[in-house]
Amino acid sequence: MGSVGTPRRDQAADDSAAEPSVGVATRLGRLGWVRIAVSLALLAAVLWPLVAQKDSFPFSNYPMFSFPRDRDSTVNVAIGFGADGQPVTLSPESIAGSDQVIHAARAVGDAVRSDAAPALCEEIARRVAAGSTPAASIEIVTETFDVVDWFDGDTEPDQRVVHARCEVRR
Amino acid sequence: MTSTATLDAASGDSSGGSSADRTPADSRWARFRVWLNRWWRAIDPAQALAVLRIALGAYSAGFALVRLPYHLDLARLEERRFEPVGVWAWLDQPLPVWVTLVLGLVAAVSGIAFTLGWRYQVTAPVFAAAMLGYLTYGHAWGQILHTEHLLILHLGVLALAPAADRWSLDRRWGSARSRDTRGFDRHRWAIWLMAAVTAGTYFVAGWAKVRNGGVEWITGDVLRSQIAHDNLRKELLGDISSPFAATLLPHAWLFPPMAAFTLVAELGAPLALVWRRVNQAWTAAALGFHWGILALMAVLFPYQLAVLAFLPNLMLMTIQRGHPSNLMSHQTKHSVSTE
Repeated sequence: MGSVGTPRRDQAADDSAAEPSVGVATRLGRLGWVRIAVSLALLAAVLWPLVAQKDSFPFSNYPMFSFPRDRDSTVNVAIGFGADGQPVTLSPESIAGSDQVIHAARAVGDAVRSDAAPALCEEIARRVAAGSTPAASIEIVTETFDVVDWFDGDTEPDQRVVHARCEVRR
Repeated sequence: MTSTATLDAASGDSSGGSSADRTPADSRWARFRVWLNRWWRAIDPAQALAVLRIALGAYSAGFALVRLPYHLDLARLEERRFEPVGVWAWLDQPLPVWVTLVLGLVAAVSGIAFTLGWRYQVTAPVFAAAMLGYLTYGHAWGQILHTEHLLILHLGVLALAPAADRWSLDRRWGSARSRDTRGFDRHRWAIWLMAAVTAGTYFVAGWAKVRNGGVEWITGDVLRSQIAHDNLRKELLGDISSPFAATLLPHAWLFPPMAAFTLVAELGAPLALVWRRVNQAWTAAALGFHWGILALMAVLFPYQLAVLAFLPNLMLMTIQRGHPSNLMSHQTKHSVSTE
């Protein structure tokens, strides 16, 4: 690979600068119809989710954080409890086997909605048992908070529903 | 236009101190600024495209490798969690774990060849396809993360572009494309298309907020509640949350201006393609937007935070010098005349 120092204008640059200004049609013609078609197709694909409202990859309608949300918010969560009954925060890896919190949230939410909370609870208990998290039991719960007040110190949930409880067998 | 004035400014007296006050470090810094300024001003479209190839290729190859353990973890998840999307939407069950390993390694190795510009016409499409398959499979486990869309779209454009015409092994060994002026249009086209794709994705994201949230997204409490909810979820699910959330969330008046800034930055993105100064302002705003997201939500957009997502915009700024209102302009003015 050539040196990446201060670049010098080469012949192509000189030719480019010396050439009289040309029209858009000529310039598009130089690009060729394949490049123009590829460009239009790609830009159409990027904008298509505006119409299709579909979140996919690599084209998306980017729905994250776009919907209205109240301060009263419901969170499905898996919580560990130590032998003394004190709550222990579980990691996303323990909950969903991935380091992404969004996967953990999705896994718990799906389990609650599909009445599969007991199965997920056992699954989490197995992961916890294989790791070093000091939890003796697991609960899958739905809690409702005023999310802004939570950050002002009011961390008690307004509502709490326990969907499943299971022991960690080491 | 000559760069004399700028070079003088860059060379040193802007600090206000006399030359006697300068330390060797100041002098080195001043020399670096002069060199950078000259390099930036002299770059031509083919070189600008090569910079994009090298920077994005190196980042992506490293990203493929660093994220391999994460992708392997995903590939081992229970089958019921599998929700294929994109190019894998046709699958009805997960692929064997070794496929993820092969895709990741092919992406990393072809990414090195891509970065070096070696047999580019073959390795670039292979790299882009491997990255597409690899990253898409990572999104097939119940949640699409939106931090990688722009990266793969940019790689797709680069794979089709003559990005190895400069500073490449193909060039050194004589297999790069011709150096005719038609090529310069093609280099400019690719850079413009990358910036246009960037603008398109931000516009779509902004439009989603208007469509789904309405005016209330700016005037109401939506953004504040979204930030609070996201941070709370992180707290409860054992992830890192924003250290600033607790301090800022009680101040409701802060959030409507932030929401307005977000929408202006996202919906205004296409204007960066039209005017050079808007491009400068938009690039700075978009970068600030992502740093703001990191600070307030602890959401990491590594491609954007590393400025790589905005490199096409930066390259447009330099190759469009002298033509502030025409991004398809032909006559790039190189301002270094001191040699």
